[in-house]
Amino acid sequence: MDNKEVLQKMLLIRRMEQKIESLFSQGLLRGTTHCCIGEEAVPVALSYLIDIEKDYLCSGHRAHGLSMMVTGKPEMLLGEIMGKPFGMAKGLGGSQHVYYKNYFTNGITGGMVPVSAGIAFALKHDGTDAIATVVFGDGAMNEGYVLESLNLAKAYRLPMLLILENNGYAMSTPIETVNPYSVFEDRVKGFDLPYHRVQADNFDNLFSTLQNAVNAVRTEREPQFVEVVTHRFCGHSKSDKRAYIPRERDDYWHEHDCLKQVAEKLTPQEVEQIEAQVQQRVEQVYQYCLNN
Amino acid sequence: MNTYKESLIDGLNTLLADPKVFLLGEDVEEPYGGAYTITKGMSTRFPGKVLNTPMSEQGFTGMGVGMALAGYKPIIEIMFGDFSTLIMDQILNHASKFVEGFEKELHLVVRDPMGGYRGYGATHSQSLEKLFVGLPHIAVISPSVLHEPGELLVKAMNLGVPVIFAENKLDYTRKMFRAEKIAETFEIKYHGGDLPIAEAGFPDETPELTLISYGGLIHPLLQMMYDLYMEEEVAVRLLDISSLSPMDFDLIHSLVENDNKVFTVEEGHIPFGIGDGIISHLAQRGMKCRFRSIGASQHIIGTSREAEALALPQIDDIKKLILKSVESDG
Repeated sequence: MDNKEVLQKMLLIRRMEQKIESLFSQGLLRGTTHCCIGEEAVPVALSYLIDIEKDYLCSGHRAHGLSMMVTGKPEMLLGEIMGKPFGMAKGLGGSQHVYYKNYFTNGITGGMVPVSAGIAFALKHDGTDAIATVVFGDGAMNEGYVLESLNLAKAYRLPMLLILENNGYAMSTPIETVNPYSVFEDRVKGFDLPYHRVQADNFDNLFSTLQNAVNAVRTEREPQFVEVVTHRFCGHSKSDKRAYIPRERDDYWHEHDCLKQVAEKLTPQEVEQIEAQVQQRVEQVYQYCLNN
Repeated sequence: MNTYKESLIDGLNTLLADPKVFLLGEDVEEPYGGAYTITKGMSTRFPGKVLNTPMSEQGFTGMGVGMALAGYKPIIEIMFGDFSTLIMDQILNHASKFVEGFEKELHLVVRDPMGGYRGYGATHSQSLEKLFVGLPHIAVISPSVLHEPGELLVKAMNLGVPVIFAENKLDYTRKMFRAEKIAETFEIKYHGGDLPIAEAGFPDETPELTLISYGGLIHPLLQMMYDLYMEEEVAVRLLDISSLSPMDFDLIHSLVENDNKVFTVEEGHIPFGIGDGIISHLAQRGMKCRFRSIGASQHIIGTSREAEALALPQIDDIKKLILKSVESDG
C-alpha cells in the first residue's frame, strides 16, 4: 500500500468536507448535509477492497467519503449537492441520495441494511464471488429492521459485510445513555455473526481487519460484521454546534486522528506536498462545479 | 382458470419458472404452503426458490427491494394486508425512491391479502390499499373475480415499479365470475390496456346507476346487481378497476361522463378513501352527477357479526341505498 496515496485520499475527503461545510455556512448550498470529518479511514480502506463494477456498496446519510472514493470524482458529489446535472444523481438526490454503478445511498437511518441483505441474496444466487457491503452508524443499530437484517444475514448465510462506524453518538445522543453498552459486540454476537472490532486511528489495523472480512465473505459466501470505533470532528449536520461532545473526547481523537498516523509514516515535505496538491484539487473541483 | 385461487397459483407457477423470481414470506414452504395454501407444493416444485422467512416483514421486504435492485424479481408475501403497515418504509422510502432517484426498474411484487367479513377482528380484516395509492412509483393492483389474478400478477411483475398486489382473502374461495351460473345474464366488457377496467352490465339495458369498485367486493356486488335486476327490474352497472394506482381517471371519466348517478364502493375506511379520490377527479373534470362514496365507517373492525357490520359496508345496505336513489331520483 502506498502511504502517500492513502494520505492523499484521506486528506481529499477531509478538505472537501471542510469546503462543503464552509459553503453551507456561507449559505451558498441548499438543503442539508452530513459530513464525515474524522471518519475518512473506512472509505479509503474500502476504495482498495471493493470493485464497484461487480461488488455492491450501500450506505446512508453520512457517505460523502464513500461517494468520493467510489467515483474518484469529487465533482460528482459536490455537483450533486449543488444540484448540477453532472451530479451523482443528476441533482435529484443531494447529499444523501446518490448512486454510482453498484453504489447506492439513502437518507433513512439503517434502511440500506435490509436492502443490502437482498442484494447479497441475489449475489449468492448469481454464483460469483461478488459481495454486498453496507456501512451504517451506531444510531442504526437500534432500528428494528437492522436487527432483523442481522438475523436474516445469518439465517440465509448471505455474502455481506456489515460495517458499523461507531462514532459514539446517534446525532447528539451518546450511545451509552440509550444502550446497555458503548460497543455492540454482545448484540452482534447474539446473532451468531463473526464479529471484529477495530479503532479507526491505525489505518494498517483497520485495513487488514476489513481486508480479512472482505476475503472471508468473498470465499465463504457468509456474513461478517466489523465494528469500527471512530469519531466525528464535525457536527451531525450543517446546523449542529456539537455542544454534546466533551472536550476530552475531541482531545483524545485529535491525538488518534486517522490522518495523523498515516502522515507520521511520511516525511514532512511529502505531507506538505500532498496537502498542497489536495488544496489545489479541492479548489479546482469547486470552480468546475461553479462554472458547469 | 375456473377459480380465483387456481388463477393465482397458475400466475405464481409461471413467474417462478423464471430463474430470477423468488418468493419470500412467512410459512410459505411445505408442508404449510402459506396461510391460505396458495403456495402449497411450490417449495417442492421450485426447490430453493420459495422460502420461509422469520417474522420480520420490514426486513424481508427490504431484502426484496435489494434483490430487485440487483436485477432479481422477488415476490414478497405478506400474510395479512394489515401487516403491510410494517413494510411502508421499505416500499415508500426505499423502493419507490430508487425508481426515479437511481433510474432503476425494480421488479418487485408484494402480495398483500386484504379484506374482512370473516370475524378476524381489527388487525386481520382491514383493506389498506388507500395507504399506498397516489404515491409516485408505487403501483397498487387489485385482482377480482373479473380480473384474473394470475394474469395480473405476471403483468404486475413487469411494471418495473414496486407493486402492492392487493388480493382479497374471501376471493380465495370463489370462482371466477364467468364460471358462475348468473354470469350468462351479464355482459362483461374490458376497457383500457394491460390493466383494464371491467364493465359489468346487462345487455340492451341503460343502467340507472353506475357502481365503481374493486377487489373482494366485486363478487357480492355482482350478485346484488343480479338480484336487483331480477327482483326489482333495476339495471345497475359496475366498473371494476384493476389498477388502483396509477389510476386511469381519463378512462373512468369517459365511461361515466353521461351518467347521473355514480356510487363508489370499497371495504376500506372512508372518508379519504379510493372512491373519494375518484369522485374528486370526476368533479374536477366538471362532471355534474349524484355522487356517493361507500366504505367502512369510522370504527375498528370488531370480531362479532354485529361489530363487523357496524364497520364494514353491508351489501343489503348498499342495495337499499341504490333502490332509494333510483326511486327518488336523488
